[in-house]
Amino acid sequence: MDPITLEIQWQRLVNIVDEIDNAVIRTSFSTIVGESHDFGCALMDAQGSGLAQAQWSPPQFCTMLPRTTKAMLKRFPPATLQPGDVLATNDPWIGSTHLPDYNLVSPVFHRDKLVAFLGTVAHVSDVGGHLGDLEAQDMFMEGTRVMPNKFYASGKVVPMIEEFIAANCRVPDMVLGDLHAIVGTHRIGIQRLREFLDDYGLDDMEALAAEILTRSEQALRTAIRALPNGRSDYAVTADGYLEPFTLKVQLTVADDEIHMDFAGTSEQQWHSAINAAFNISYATAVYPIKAMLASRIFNNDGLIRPLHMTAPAGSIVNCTFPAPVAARAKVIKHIPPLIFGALADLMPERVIAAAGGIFPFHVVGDDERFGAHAVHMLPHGGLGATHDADGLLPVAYPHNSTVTPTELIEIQCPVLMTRKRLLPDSGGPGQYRGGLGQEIALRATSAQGTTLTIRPDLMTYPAEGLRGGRRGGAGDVLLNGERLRRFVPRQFKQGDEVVLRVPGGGGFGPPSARDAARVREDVRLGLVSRAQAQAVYDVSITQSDAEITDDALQRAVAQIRTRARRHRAP
Amino acid sequence: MNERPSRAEAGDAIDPISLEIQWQRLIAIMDEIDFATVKTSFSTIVGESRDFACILVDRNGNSLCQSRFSPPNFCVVLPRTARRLLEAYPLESLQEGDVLCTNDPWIGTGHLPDYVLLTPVFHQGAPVAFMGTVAHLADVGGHRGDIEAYDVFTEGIRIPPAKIYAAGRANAFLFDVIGQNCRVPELVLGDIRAIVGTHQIGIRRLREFLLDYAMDDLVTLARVIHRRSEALMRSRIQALPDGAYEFGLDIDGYVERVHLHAVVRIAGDDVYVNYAGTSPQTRLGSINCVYNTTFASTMYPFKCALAPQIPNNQGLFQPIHVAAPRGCILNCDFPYPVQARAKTTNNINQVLFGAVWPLLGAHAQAGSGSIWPFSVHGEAEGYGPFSVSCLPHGGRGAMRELDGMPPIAFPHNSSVTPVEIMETQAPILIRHKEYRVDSAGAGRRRGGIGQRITFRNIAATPIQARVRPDKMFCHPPGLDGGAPGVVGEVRWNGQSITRFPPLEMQPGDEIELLMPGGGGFGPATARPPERIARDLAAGFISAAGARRDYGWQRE
Repeated sequence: MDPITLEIQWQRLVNIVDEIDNAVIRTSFSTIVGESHDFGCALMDAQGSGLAQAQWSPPQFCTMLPRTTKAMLKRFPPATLQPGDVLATNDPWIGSTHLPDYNLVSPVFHRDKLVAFLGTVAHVSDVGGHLGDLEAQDMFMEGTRVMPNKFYASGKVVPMIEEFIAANCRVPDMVLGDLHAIVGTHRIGIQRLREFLDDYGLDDMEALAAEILTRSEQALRTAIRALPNGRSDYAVTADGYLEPFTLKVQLTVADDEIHMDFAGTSEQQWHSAINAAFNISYATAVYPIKAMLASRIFNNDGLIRPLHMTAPAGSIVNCTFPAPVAARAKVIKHIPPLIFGALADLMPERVIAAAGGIFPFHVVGDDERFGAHAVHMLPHGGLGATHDADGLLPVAYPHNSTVTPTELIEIQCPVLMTRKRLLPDSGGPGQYRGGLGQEIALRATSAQGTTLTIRPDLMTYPAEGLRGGRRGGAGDVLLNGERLRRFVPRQFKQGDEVVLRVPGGGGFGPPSARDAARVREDVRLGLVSRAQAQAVYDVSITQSDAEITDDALQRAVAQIRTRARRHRAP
Repeated sequence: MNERPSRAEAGDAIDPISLEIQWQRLIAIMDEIDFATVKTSFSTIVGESRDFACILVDRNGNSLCQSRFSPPNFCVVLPRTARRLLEAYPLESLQEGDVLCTNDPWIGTGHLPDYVLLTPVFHQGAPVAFMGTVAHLADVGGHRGDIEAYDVFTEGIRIPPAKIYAAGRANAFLFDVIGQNCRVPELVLGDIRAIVGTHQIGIRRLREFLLDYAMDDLVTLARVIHRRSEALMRSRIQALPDGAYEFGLDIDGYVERVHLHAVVRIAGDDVYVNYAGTSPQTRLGSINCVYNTTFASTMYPFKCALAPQIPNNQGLFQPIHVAAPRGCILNCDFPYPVQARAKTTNNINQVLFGAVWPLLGAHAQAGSGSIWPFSVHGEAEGYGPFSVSCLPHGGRGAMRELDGMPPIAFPHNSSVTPVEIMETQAPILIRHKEYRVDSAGAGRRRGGIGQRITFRNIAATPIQARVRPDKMFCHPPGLDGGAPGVVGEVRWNGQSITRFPPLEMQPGDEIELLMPGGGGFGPATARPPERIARDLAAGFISAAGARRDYGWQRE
């Protein structure tokens, strides 16, 4: 296949999944899908290998979906599938490793032949279970599990599974609304894919799939071969919940393959729901390598074939059934810094220091004015610095998601956002400074109260720097001025105020190497205090340095814009 | 007293002897499937604790009879569940080999572990009756706790009315979700399959019965049983004086006290019970009761007092009408938490006896010490993974002619796990199991004495314990001037505790249950001295207690 035809056809596949991604947003019922974009869409070939994903999709989802699809096909072999069937599961060990993530997979038939699968994984609003997320002793506490089953059979919903899902969640209209919306988007995708095949007179996807997978694989293998063979050990210790844990990796570059061995990583925990099943650990471990070595190639399964991961069964990155898993993000978000750490000396110009993470915030209740409500917000901390840039201000990382706007939160639940600002001095000092974290204050306005769940991180072990860069500021959560340490669901009643201090990112390079002019500018903009400038960077600030002139402000804004643009198009 | 309704009352064609023989044979069929359930079940909660019931229901969803050992509440609820299942799956949509199923608390018995299974019996091509079983299965997923839950979703999975078998074929999806959402799928699915198997025995026996009597269906027999039972119940009610009798009672609840309030109106041959004035449903403890459970718990004292000898069936319930305001703790809305509803339902009989005891003569009973479920689970060296529960009770309330019984299950049937079983299956040493001296409410007839049990963790590692006490704050009430029983207490290493999430028992930790005594009946001053002397001699009361409670002066 010539490269131009390949590119055109490939782009069109990506457009098809982008279209269904967009349709999900337009037709979904919940804020977590519609606003927070906590879902992914992927196209897979007839064997279940990932060919294309929506450009907005969180990358882990699209590495896991093909694995999930292949597991579903073990239970429902292709011969048992009909046009109009939709398979569903939310099993953590088969799917995307915690119960709220529902995987829906539709076979695509063309000229009576199964040619592909469309898959969507979406975090639905509720799956029953306890209201908390961190304090669970097994998966059964966390909600209801649906093993791979037909959600639709020959175009008709299977009433029993629909009733079962509805009977076991608090907001059945939202959950089923989202699931049916996704089935609708698959119908669009199926139609588009058939049009595509007709336009090119193709009977199936086989040749194109082989081309995409093989070329991608070869490209990545070539990039790996360019690296020197060798071995690197790295470890990261993180808060966990009741007890810290350590991730260890031994990363080996061997010719055109990379092996990551997680032996020595902490064991799974039975008192906290932070355990990650293998699917997501693997998806999260391969992603930084893909981003470093093949950033311009659309995600597909060819790009993971040269990457191998092993982890002891029963470790916190390969937990066994039925360990509690709801808050596995507490573990997996430390995997990218671990991999970057292991590769920092090999590819210093391609790594990024640890980020300030995410403080998921969730309000559920029933209130006179707002009715039954369930609202999520996913605020992030600052990003880590790189070898040539300060870390970005709070933005989703290491996955895509958007922050529910203040207006939506205030319209949908009895909560008022009284403050949202950057946290000075929270960026990890370095030659390049970590991105600043943020402070968000929320006040309850309901006399009846609502139930509040928060899942902070990096409160004990803040985001690490790289190559001499320092750690970012630690996170914190205050309720009515009191520091919280246990994060069970709490009553949030009129007059209560909760403050989230989402941490900053780690720095890159020694602070002593930072340009004093940049330090002064940070002080002028209020990103760094005079005290920190003096103590950490050894830069003393005069009164005139600290004043913001119109010129300085405009310069700074322009600079931020340029940097943001550079990050958008690396 | 002749307990059998007369032929004239029922106005029917079956002679009393045939009726008795046929009725007894139906009961024998249910006893047989009950026995088969014990023999084939996988879990101890069904097999040993007997937390299940087998009921024969007619084609309209009215109960005809139950197996003899079945807990009475289940037998009142199951027909109500059957009628709801028949709304979802009407009679004409059913096929031979179908089995209907649900564990929805609002349709079923008020909490998730109780699964209801209902199998139509076909005879000559038409459904003539249903075999029904309610069984408390070993696990439904959900949190590990018991009483601290925000809503029913926290408590486990809920199966809406469904055909778990259709024309003899298992519904793969249902078996999948039930099995995959519980911690012990082999026990749960094993029990379900066992129950379905016992229904097949019942179907065979019922068909033999119909063939033996050359009956096409059970319509006539059902009508006779129902009419005669109803007529008997109505005649007993008719004999009571008309009037409205009111009583209110504070009970423990969990975090906050709960008030139960009843007005019992007797009008001709009907009884109307209204629970207006009862506390609202709560999120502070899974102690809410669905209407079905309240209805069943209301039937029980009347049935026992007025028609103790008649086998339970629908006819007996017809004259008794129960109203509970929507949203009160006795008629809670979906999805309030319900797991520990027994904390509330166990007290319903006390409110009713409080209202109508003067009418019931020797059948009225003062307050009892309630059930105090205690369980441990975990994994320990020498024991492996273990999970053992025991269901000890406090003392029972006194009656007009009887002292209350020492600890025994009330107001339902259940058995107590023996010390030997507990100690061999779990790293538990039972340090004390003894009567609690002076805990019984004084009276002309005194309450049953309470008990003290102390459990020690003898493992080298922590184990999980759960306990659900009752009557720690509100006494089991006395009747007719009898004194209330002494309240209970839970001590953890000597310290009193009042909140009961799952408890982590460290090695050597002790949990001590001090269970209440029952309430007394009649004034203490009227107690015959020889009975006081006997209690003293037996050690049920101390000399100081005898002085305090009875003014006893002798040594």
